[in-house]
Amino acid sequence: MESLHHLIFGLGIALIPQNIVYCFLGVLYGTLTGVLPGFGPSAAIAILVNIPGEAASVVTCLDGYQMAKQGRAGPAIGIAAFGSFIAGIIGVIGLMALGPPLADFALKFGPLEFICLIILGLSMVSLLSTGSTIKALIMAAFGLFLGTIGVDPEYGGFRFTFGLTVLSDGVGLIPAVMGLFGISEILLNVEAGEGASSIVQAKIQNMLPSFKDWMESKWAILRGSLIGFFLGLLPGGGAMLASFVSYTVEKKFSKHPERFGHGAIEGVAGPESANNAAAQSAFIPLLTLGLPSNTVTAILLGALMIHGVIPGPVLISQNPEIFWGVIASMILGNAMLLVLNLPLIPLWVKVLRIPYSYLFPLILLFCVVGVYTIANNPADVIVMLVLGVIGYGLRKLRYEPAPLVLALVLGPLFERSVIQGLKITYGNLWMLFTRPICLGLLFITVLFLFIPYLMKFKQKAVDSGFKE
Amino acid sequence: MVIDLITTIIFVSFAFVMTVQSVKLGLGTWEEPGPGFFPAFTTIVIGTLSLVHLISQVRRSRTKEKTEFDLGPQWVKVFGLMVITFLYIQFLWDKLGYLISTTIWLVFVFKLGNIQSWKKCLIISVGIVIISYILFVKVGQCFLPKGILGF
Repeated sequence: MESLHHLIFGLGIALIPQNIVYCFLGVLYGTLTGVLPGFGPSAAIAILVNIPGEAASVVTCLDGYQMAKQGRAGPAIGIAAFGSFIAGIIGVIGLMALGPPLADFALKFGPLEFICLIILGLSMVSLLSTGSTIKALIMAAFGLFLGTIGVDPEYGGFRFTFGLTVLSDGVGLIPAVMGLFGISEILLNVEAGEGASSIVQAKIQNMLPSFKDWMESKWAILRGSLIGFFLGLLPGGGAMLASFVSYTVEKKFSKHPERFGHGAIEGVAGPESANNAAAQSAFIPLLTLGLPSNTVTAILLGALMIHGVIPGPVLISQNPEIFWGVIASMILGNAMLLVLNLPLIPLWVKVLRIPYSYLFPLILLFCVVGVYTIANNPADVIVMLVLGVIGYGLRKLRYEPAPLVLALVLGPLFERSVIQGLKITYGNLWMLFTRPICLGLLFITVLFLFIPYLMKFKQKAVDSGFKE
Repeated sequence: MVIDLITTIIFVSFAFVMTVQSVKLGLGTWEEPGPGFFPAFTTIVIGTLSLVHLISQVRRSRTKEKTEFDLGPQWVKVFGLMVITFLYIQFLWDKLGYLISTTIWLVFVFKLGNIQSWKKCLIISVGIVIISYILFVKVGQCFLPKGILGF
């Protein structure tokens, strides 16, 4: 009841006309930059042209793009928008109700806990792939290796740069994602002679999700929201892991997992919900403890400090208008985003009708400019092109890039955690089994990996019992 | 099938070479891992998995099971597209600036995309470059190379 009063107080702050205008401008600018490939994450671009703007959008490409090719881009973008809105509201409610205790829980995550969390994440690699499991594992290991290129985080020396300055900062995530997905997709389509045709050959169906789509997606949205909310609390790769974990959970729980990778709407609804929920819960460590968990919250921390506001345990008591105003503005921002994006769906879907010979140069241009503007360095574009060619070759040979990207994202954090874990335990990683959070995560990993085999074994036993 | 085998052998060789490089960086000890510790772990995993895959492929080749690999009808265009894009970024981008270099590049890319008329390619390219310049530089406040035009 008290939280409700506080929320009404926060809404009173957020609904001041000046603040509404600022909120709208922020949402509008975010939408405009997000839709340009390479400039930011956008479910629409991931779904329409198979270009994820960031690592968290990679899994949206897997099924979203397939849905677009089947003429169902509208429902895909629509469910992504609705799922994000619902997840955002769940995230805000969670932030209000559980913020401080969850922040304390997040602080309990040390190097050993992160090792177990990332093992859980990497164990899902096989579920990201629709093809050979061993090829997916090779890609994941290759992604972990690519994450070691550049400056060694412990000793500061260069590793595997071979004298190339462009690799001194490592393999950038955005050039890697754009190259492996976007550029390789363009090359495959050009090779197949897609010039005169458009991306989608099938009749474009509904612009919004149907009742059936909602029924298929409702649990995915709820599960994704919860997964994203809890993983978003963790500093580092927690939020990026959220969409991957959500995708693999949906595939695992689905009665028809073979649909995933071929246009399953749950494969869009779950990850997009997880992504947005993680974005909300990332504010919990910032507002309650003063600890930013990602780049966005770090920038926000700087902005608050410039204005003399110190986030932390006393923020709620000393500056309640800031705390509750931020929470209320999240609700407002989520609603504005939904209202802004839904009318644009028919426009986005029209993009699919443009002949590919006109479309792919535009996509390529946006990728080039998007990657260049990261650091105003043409070498980043060369890296993207090289990875694009590699991605093209790998996809021709049925090696999928999604596991590679997952491992590339998690690799640096995994290495740091392993090195720190070995140092603090004096090389005795068996201490993992003495820590309750580690045990819990390892147990979930084992369940995830072995439950399908146990179910098959049980089914075989039942079937052989019937035959006798 | 042969290409699949060759790729797997490449992965095995890559893993071997990079493991040697990692050892040269220094593996350290369990209590104090060196800079080559984690990379060596990853390359050993790559090598092991690739060897397992290689063995399974060799066994499959004995059963004459085939996997498909084919180049599409326009594979030369793929090569051409990458070459001209590389040349555009490496040699034209900074020297000529965004406006001129991108116009030249887009003309060739549209031609690769089967647009027959050079005039049409040029008109569309100029239009796209102007609109994108306004979008990226004026609205988005991005920095793009000015080159010989100075803007």
